[in-house]
Amino acid sequence: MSDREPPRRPFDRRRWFTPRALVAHAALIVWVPGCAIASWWQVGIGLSGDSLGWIYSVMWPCFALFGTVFWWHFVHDDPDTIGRRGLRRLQRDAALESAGQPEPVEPDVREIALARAEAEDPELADYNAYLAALAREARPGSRRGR
Amino acid sequence: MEPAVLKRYRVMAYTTAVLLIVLVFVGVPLQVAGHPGVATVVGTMHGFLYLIYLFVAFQLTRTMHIPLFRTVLVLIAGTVPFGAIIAERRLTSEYSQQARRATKGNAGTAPQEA
Repeated sequence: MSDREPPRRPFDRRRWFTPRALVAHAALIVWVPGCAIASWWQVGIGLSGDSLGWIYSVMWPCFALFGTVFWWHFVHDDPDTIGRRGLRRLQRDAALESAGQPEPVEPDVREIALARAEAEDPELADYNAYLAALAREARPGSRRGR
Repeated sequence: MEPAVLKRYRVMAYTTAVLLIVLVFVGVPLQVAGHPGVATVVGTMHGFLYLIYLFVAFQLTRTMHIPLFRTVLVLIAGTVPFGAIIAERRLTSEYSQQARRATKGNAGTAPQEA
């Protein structure tokens, strides 16, 4: 789904204090010490002779690290892009953007050559303008004739 | 075609779910009966694979713009028997819905692959 990822908006420091971010802060404050306590508890189990305790005493700090990484993402998210509503908004923006911008048109080499020739030769430019005026008179509906 | 982020999640969801079901419904009863071998091996495997599950699940929830509370539910689903399977079913159907809506939204402006 990366094809419909929009360009990110610049980070706004107020995002650290959105309800979503505050919940994430609270969760982190509980989570990391909780993991530390759990790890310490498993060290105790390891010391008592159960080797499984050693394995889990390594795993709990990993969980703490993951929690910290997740927290970092949660507090830096653009709140307007979250959830179904955020996704709909992103899709709408992308559709508007692609509708508003016409396909890039390749420059017409004939027009470039003509403009260059007219710049070099004022008489040619006058004659072309005269022809264009005639063409406009002949076809009043057309915006430009040449 | 199924995107890699969804495929990774589905593989890890079923792996952790099956290991946890074996742990809870085979390993733990055997441990209570005095044979802790299965619980030790499967428990350790589940522990480490759950770390990978966390990683791929988080990637998927970010791709799908899932809100915080539901993200946490998806993450802890890997520690509940059958939880990861339920989460996988829901996320897979929602992912295809999102992809369909995205295709419909762009249909007027860009050619879409079938």
